Amino acid sequence: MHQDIKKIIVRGLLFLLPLIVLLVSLEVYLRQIPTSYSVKRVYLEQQENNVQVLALGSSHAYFGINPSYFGLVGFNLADVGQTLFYDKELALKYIDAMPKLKCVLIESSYFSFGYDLNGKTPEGWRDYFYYHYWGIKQPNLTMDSRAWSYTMLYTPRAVLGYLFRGAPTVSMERTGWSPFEHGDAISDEAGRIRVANHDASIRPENYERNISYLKTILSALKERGIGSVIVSEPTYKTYYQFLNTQTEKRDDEILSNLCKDYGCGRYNFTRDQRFTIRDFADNDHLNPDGAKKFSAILGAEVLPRACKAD
Amino acid sequence: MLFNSFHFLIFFPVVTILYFVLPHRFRWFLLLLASVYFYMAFVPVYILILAFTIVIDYIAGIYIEKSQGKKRKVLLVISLISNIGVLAFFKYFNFINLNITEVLHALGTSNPIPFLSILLPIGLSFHTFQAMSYTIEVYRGKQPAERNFGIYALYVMFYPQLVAGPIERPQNLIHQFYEEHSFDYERVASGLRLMLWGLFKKAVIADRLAAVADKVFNNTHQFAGPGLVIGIVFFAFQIFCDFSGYSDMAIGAARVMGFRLMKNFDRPYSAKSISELWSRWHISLSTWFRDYLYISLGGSRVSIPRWYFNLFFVFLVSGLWHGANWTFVLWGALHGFYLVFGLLTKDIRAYFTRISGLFKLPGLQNALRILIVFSLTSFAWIFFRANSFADAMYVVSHLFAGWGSVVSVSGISNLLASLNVNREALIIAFLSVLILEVVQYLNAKKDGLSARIAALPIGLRWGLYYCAILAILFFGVFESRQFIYFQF
Repeated sequence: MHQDIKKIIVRGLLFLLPLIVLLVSLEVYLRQIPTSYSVKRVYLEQQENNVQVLALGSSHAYFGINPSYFGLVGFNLADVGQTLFYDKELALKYIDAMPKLKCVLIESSYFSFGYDLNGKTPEGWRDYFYYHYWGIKQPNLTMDSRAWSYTMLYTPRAVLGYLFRGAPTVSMERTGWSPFEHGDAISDEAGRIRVANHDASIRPENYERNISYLKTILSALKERGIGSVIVSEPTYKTYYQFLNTQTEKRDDEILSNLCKDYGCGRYNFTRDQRFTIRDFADNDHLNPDGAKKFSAILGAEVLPRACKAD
Repeated sequence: MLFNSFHFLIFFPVVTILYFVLPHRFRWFLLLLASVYFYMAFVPVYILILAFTIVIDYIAGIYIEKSQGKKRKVLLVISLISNIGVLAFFKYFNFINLNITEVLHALGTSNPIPFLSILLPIGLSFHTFQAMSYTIEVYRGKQPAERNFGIYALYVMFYPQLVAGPIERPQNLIHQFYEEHSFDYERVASGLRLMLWGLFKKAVIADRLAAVADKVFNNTHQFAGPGLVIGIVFFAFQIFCDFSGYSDMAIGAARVMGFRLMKNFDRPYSAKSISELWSRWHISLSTWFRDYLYISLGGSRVSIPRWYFNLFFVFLVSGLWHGANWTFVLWGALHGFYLVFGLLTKDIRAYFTRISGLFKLPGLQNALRILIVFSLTSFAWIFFRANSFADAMYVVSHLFAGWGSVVSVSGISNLLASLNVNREALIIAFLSVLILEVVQYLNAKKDGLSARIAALPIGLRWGLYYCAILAILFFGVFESRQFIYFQF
């Protein structure tokens, strides 16, 4: 029996060795792949001493706000699927490291108050990217294999694709803005489906929590004398015509009351007629031309009022 | 704790190493503790339910053996009622209540009994049947009552087969806990090979096919004949690979430690008749029903009408065992009907085989029979998998609709797009089913595939293992998909 045990231990270790080497190599390789989270963090930390305007929000802001056209030094700290929880965490993490910060733009979408990643939604994997790359842990995050293994986070299937076809690249400027050229077709049908998806992601039970996150951000900014402004980005008519007006009205009331309490500005560009079909990549995201136009409008109309004077 | 989880990846080697390190007299205790931990990884408080039935059956077994005459039967009935009672409460309360509600509603009144929010204890149907098997065998005098409470508890809770079988018999399992199992390299390697194969079937084949089957069955009205047939066939292989994969992992894990569990699947889709199918599919359950229900009803030693009733009734109950829904009962009824119809038409079918000359082409005859049995089985799976009776009837009524749409390349492309399947995923699915059939075919040969692999040079052998592991890693689905039979 001792011979058998020795045999299985030796053979077991020899057998496992190549697998361990493979898994470790994959982990090392995957950690080198740039993501919007890792690249954005590097750019932010290189420039935080100079940032005057910070933009937070979801994909609407990530693709739609190009700080190069602010007229001030800006940084886009928004990201795809970013929730108010992560807006709050990132704001609290960095605003004190930005000595020149004058104001913060917080993007508020149709679904902002009702939406949460929470680990169990289709976009729940993003929680693990925030955990790995920003060091921010969502309170309900399940510490499963994705919390320590990048192979499981990307999924082995996707990793195999990267090995053969190369890893995806990140297209992001040093301001944190990412250009978005083309998305879904701009049509009534596509817009209707998009709004339906957003409606499905809105959960009433998330409202209270998300409002408290926004209050925390506004309160922190007010304490520091930093201007704040809540902005709703332009969308195309194929999208906004399907929005539930009761939801919009409720959210507008919440935002109005918050801005009364915290002294923030409120600008709603959802139905702004200055934006035509040529400005949109899809039904609710601006393309680079649209982002340039919108950012210039922000720089001319919003920031002078919102940002604290020197 | 799922077999295809990192938790089990740590749990299994730790328990196995400790098992072989400990002196024999302590091993049963280690296994019992490990089994308790394994079970409590699901819903800890449900261990109390298991403890309740274990205590009842342990005591019942001892007193049945000691008693004489009518008292023995009373004790058996108490044991069976307590087991069935727990099963009925947790599994069937809301189903029964729903039916009462519908009847009362039809009579113009309402049901005052509230529905319960009960989570079904994992593996309840399996360990309940295993426990019932013990008291019945003690009653029949075929199994001595187990005096060691810990050993009896381990018989019910033995972790490899606790939550989804195979449903063991006390004559096969209990004595093994008393036997000293020495470490044997070949046996351990064989057990690990079987576990690897089981995991391949689950992660690479079953869970991959599930994505398509779920798409179809969760959205039946979006599909016509071609999509529905693909969904049904994919589900047929999904449920086989899922369940037999689990059984393989259970049998393999037990084998590593020196325990022999019964075979639960034997190439069921190569069956040439429905009765042969049931000698190859979920063997531990079908033999349980044969030995404890069918034979108790008289089996085939009764009048022909009664015999047919016995067969049909057993399959009705089997359907109900699988789930608290009329669709499962209908599934069981269909198989009961198939069996009875097969018996009724046996002579006619033999006659047509003779006059058609098909008997001269045994290969073709067997192929046709296999195809027919597979088609009948797949048809029955519609009711097993459908979310509701209405969905099942939609599938049945649209099986032959829309076939004209797939005669063109664009039609096939549209069908694949509607199934959320790209060409690559389809190729992987077909290749993995092909691998499955080849492995099963080779395994059915005299020496068995496992023995042939063991005889290969180490380089080739390890190459095969690496291929299986890499296939599981890169082509497996890891979305915490539970084994299908866990819900029973």
